[in-house]
Amino acid sequence: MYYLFVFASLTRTQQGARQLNRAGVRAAVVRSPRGAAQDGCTHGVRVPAEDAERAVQILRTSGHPAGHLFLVRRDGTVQEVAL
Amino acid sequence: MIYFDSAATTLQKPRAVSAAVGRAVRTLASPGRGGHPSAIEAAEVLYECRELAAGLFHVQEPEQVVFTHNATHGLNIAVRSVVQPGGRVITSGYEHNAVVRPLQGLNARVRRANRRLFHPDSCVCAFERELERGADAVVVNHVSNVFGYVQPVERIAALCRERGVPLIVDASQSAGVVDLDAQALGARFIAMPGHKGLYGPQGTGLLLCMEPGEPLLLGGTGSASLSPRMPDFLPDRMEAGTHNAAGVAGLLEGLRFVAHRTPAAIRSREEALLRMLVGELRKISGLRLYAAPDGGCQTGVLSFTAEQRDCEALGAELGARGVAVRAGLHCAPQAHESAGTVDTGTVRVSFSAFSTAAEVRRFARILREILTVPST
Repeated sequence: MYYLFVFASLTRTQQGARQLNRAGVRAAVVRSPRGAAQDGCTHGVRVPAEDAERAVQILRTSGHPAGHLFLVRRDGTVQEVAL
Repeated sequence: MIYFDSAATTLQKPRAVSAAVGRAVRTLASPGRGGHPSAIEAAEVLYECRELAAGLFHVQEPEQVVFTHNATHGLNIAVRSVVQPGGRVITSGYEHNAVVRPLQGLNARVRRANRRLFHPDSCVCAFERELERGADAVVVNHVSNVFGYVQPVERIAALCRERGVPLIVDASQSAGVVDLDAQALGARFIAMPGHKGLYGPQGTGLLLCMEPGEPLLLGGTGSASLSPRMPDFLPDRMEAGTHNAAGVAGLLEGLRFVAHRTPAAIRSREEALLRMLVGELRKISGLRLYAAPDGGCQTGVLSFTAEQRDCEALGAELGARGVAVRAGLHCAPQAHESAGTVDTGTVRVSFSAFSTAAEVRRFARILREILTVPST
């Protein structure tokens, strides 16, 4: 299970991943599962479940908040959660 | 070979540039498309390049750095984004055809504000006068590719900001050589090649965008794929199709080189070579040099003509003696009109960070030897 932060563009996704990594959160840019790719194709920032709350705060204070946040379960199901 | 044609392309690059291009060809897939490591790595290279360029040119966000094929590509995007057909545009008297032709293609009503060479104050006055008459946009080159004339773009930008007139800066000859602060300038777009003062490979360029513009190419971006329209966000809006990832990998190394040396240090070195060259060439009779009288507004680019000599023939003779220069009109006939050299053209010498004093001395000796033999 992990959380996926989805941004407007890949560039912003990369920016978000860097900000999280710099703050000590293990964040990786990955291709979004179809269920989280609302506009067709996107990348997202994958964050371990235990770091999700901290990641939301870091991105919010950085001025580059994510557009959407998804919970991706082990069975592959995707659920959008409130940011 | 003495390579003094860096205003066209810097041929000598930092070694890391070709190494990065070779590595990229072998290892980088399509950035922003797949989710596999080769695609992610390619995307990382692009991001690093955007981030470094954003820092070097004082752009707020990496997404405002758009990859283009060259400066001409970027200028076409910028002109098409800002200028409406028939729009009123002010340019300087030193524009390259990369600006002149896109404006002509839109039937823009162009007024040239400045024709005096190496005279920044009169340039500012001329722009002020023309702006008073009204304009929809200003397009100006920062440094003339023919004469190395550094136009007072900061002061022109201030005039534009005061009047709310969008500004496009052609930084083809200044990027990597003259400090450029995109935020301070407030220009709508700044276009630059990757293969000149940024030491990247040919086929690369950057367009610094203060806002999304109108794309020239429409197509896949790896994002917002359900929409038949181009995304409205940067950089995707302006970057349809697969990127030149290998080129960008080389450009990244070129940018690292420039950032490490600093544009100020590179310029200072090139200016010292220019002073030396001018000193050497003044000892040769029959040459007319286009050198700024008191320095400060000329980069490492010098145009000259020789009495009774066709500039193209002289360029060819220099080439045959192992000296690479560029002769003719340099795709900038308006600059030659302004300086009064449109009928003759000029021979242009242009330096890079790899040019040396020994090369300058050898060049002067070769030129003197050529000129002592009467032309046939």
